[in-house]
Amino acid sequence: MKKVVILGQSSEAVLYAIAIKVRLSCEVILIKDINQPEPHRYIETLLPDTLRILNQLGLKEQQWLPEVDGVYCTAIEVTTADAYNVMLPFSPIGTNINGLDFHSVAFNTLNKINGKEFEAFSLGAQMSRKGKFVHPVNDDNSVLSSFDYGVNVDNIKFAHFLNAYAKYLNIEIIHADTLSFDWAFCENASENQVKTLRCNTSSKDVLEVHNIDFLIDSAESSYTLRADAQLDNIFENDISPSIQRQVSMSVEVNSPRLFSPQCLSLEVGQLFIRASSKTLCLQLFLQDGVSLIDGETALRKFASSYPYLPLINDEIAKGKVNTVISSKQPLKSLPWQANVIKASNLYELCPVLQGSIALHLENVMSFIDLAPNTSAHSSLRNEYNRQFVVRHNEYNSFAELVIHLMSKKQAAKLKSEKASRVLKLYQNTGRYMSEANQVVDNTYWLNILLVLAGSPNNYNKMLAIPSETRDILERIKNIISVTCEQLPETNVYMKHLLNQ
Amino acid sequence: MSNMQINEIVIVGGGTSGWMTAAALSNQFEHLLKKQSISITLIESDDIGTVGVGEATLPHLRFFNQKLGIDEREFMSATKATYKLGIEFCHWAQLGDCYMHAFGEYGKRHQNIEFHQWWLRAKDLMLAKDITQYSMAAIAAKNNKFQHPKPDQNSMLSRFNYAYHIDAGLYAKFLRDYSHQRGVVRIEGKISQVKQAGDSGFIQSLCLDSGQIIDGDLFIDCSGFKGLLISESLKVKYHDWSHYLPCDSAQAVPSERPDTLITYTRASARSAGWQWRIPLQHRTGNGYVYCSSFCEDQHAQDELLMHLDGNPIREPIQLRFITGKRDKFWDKNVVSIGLSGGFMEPLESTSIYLIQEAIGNLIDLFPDADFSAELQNEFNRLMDEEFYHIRDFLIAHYHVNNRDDSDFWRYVRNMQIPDTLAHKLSVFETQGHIVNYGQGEFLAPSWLAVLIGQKLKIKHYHPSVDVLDTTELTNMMENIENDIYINAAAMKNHEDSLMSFLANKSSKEYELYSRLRASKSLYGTTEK
Repeated sequence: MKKVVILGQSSEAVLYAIAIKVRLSCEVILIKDINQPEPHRYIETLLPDTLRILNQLGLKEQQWLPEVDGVYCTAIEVTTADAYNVMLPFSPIGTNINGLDFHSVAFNTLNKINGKEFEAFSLGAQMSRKGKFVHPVNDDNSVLSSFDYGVNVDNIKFAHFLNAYAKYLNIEIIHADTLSFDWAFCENASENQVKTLRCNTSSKDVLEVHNIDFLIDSAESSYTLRADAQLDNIFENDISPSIQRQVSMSVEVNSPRLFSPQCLSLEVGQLFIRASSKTLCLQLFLQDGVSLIDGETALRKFASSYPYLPLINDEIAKGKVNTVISSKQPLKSLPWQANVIKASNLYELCPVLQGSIALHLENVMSFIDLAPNTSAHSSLRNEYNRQFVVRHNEYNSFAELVIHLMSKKQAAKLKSEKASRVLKLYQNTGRYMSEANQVVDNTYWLNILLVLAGSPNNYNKMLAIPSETRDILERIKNIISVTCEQLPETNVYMKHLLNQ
Repeated sequence: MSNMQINEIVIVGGGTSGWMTAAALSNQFEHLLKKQSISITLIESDDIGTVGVGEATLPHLRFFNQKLGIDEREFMSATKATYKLGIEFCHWAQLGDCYMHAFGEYGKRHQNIEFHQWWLRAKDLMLAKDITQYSMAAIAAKNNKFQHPKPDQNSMLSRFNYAYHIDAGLYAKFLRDYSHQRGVVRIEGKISQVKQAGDSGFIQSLCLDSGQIIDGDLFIDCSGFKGLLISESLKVKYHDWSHYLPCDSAQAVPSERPDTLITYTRASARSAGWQWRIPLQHRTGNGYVYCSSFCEDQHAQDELLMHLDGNPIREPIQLRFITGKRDKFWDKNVVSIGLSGGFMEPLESTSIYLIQEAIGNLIDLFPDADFSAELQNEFNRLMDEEFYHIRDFLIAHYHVNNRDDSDFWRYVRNMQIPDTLAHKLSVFETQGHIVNYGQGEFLAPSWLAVLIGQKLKIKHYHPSVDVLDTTELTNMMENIENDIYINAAAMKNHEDSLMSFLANKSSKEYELYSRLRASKSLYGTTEK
């Protein structure tokens, strides 16, 4: 693979360009639509695993953090339909005791223990609750190694940073509107493949890019995707509406309170509140059947009455709130066909945990793993498409479980086999069985059960629990509490860090 | 909330699976056995033989023993064990060819790219040797060397693993003593009748030949191929996989040990199957697994005896089996562990591993007397995954061959294989990528060893490895090879290493390594 053309200007397109350039060292041409408006502003949470992958691609946290109004976070605050509020940390809750799962020990020792009580055993949850932060230490004996962190970033500034990095890597960036593709029969692969791209540059010249080995189509206006509109959905347990709609609101402010990302269950859908160091953003993902107008009304009503967001209320009064309505259709065919990957229009699957970047980055890294060294790559393509479907099904399953638990509609039947199986096993037996090669980490699956699914009906009562366990649990709680008290406020820590 | 704890556990059948189960449960429930709030009874009959013919294991067995607090020295001494660094496959890809599936990684990842991709490019440029040269375990095994791995991640000596060759009968006896000490009651006798509850079909009690009645809440069927409870009583059906793995017979015979004690199992392909050779301290275990449609029993026996390294100690014994698995490993109040749950030929030494996985899963999912359906379903799902993954791995050994010297090898090369395996082979062939379907054995280095060893031709390497120039690539290959060579050269000879260890001259490194491993969760938790 010598020449790759990428269409689009989303973060995903640029991430594809960066990853291919860094990992595959081939010629990369990024073609951006001339008149494509800048995407709407929202705040994205980059999860710990996303930060690690970015780091592998040379995107060091200390370089981009100041550029993207980044704010550290160690948990997501979740509020259910009945106003139950709890933290979902990014790291395991508690620690194994005598080789036994922490939650099994906790059930046996404390009998009924709810999500709020589990919070006390997670430094990450406590730090988020109290607005504290330091970087974790690399010492298994220290409680300061027991949490993990993500970063809230301004999506537009992050995209700008990625663009600058792409230029630094000598990726050719062309502003042009795509006109057409030429397909040619590739004998080696026994199929037609895209070989030439024709586009109109900003100076109205027609530019032709020849000898394309691979095309990644991530453009919003892409016509390779339009043909998919009439197809059936490819996902087994799709829980999203056929057209995903969201209403979002972003407010630029001078110094917002630095709080954890929040996810709330409203009548009309799931609301996410995230903050960078300069912007507050509310994103409402609408349930099927709720109109955009009703969604916008609900969002404005929420913003004006939510007591913890006085800044937004002030800004609303000043008329500085931007409301953006967007809708996306899900991808309806397998993404990699011939020598083209359709990488756009992936709806965001109600990003309880992740913003779109985490999912995009998974797709990008899957492609890097399977990047072909030949034009005859049908088996690699099949594997990419298989992984893609598995990944999206698992995200869907996780999202469905979270929405189910948040909405408190316990009688509702879960569509996802996995979500249903995991929930039933936990509720009836108090168990969670870790699985290898999870797309959504086992930590998140277990944590969401511990903090939101309530005490199980039964649990393993035959464990050899040491008699001093109650004291041990108390000590863990105290260490976490005292440690957390001693940590600096997130904004103080960040100011210090940025001044350095 | 249910408070109906299971009080009476009955294990049907001794042998390796029965006593491993008894030992693990008595360790897990030692606190309850002491308080007499639970009982564990194992029923076995000296009149019924066990299949155990000498056993090669996977490294997981060490963790099982560590969890039980078993001293390695004591265990090796009691079971006449030798160290095992892998399996040598001879004549599989083609007659006269040999390769090693060793326990450990190949080389080192570089720039976050798997070693074998660098190797593929180096091989294209004639800059690399056989991939075996880049495996610490394989080089140690080929040179008959052994030492315990080191915990230091920067050392090549941390990049391999080891298992044992054991006398499975002695292991069962060893665990029987272990279990007795923790309160397991052994009852000698044959089961003449199984009493089930009329409405639920749950097993209530077992009646022995002597007339003794054994009541139980949970029954663990370790009765071997017969499946006394899971099959004969509960009628759980068996999925026959002989269309994928057609070998259905085996003959086993021990022989006198040769002078040199090798550190690996040898699996030599024969005209209609393969022959194992398992070196123990006092003898060698041998057997021929074959397909009766392609080979008469007498011919198999002749072929087996012709290829022994020492004189046979007794007459060969004959075994028949059907490769496959139960539809449910756990049904009602019966959990099948070992051969009663399913059988896969011992080509990759998975029998004890599967027993161990079943025991670990049972402990993680141990039920109350209400036998929650969720626990059963989860247990069955996890065991299914294990069986499917191992099945595909075994099929690959047969299917990917270039032999044209017998009908059997032509048949297995052309037979239909599962879609999951076909996809895996196709992706590997294209660019050396190993598809990962989820959890279970075997991991990427094992697939790599076998698929490369079976001479599956990889058409291209990953494009990312073009970044190094040939000098850098040569240096990288040479450095790894030298590092392995130097470390292997410094190791003791296998027999010396074994004897000095058994004579209580352990190294500090091993003590440290053991402590580190023992501190990890092995089973009884959700971390695996």
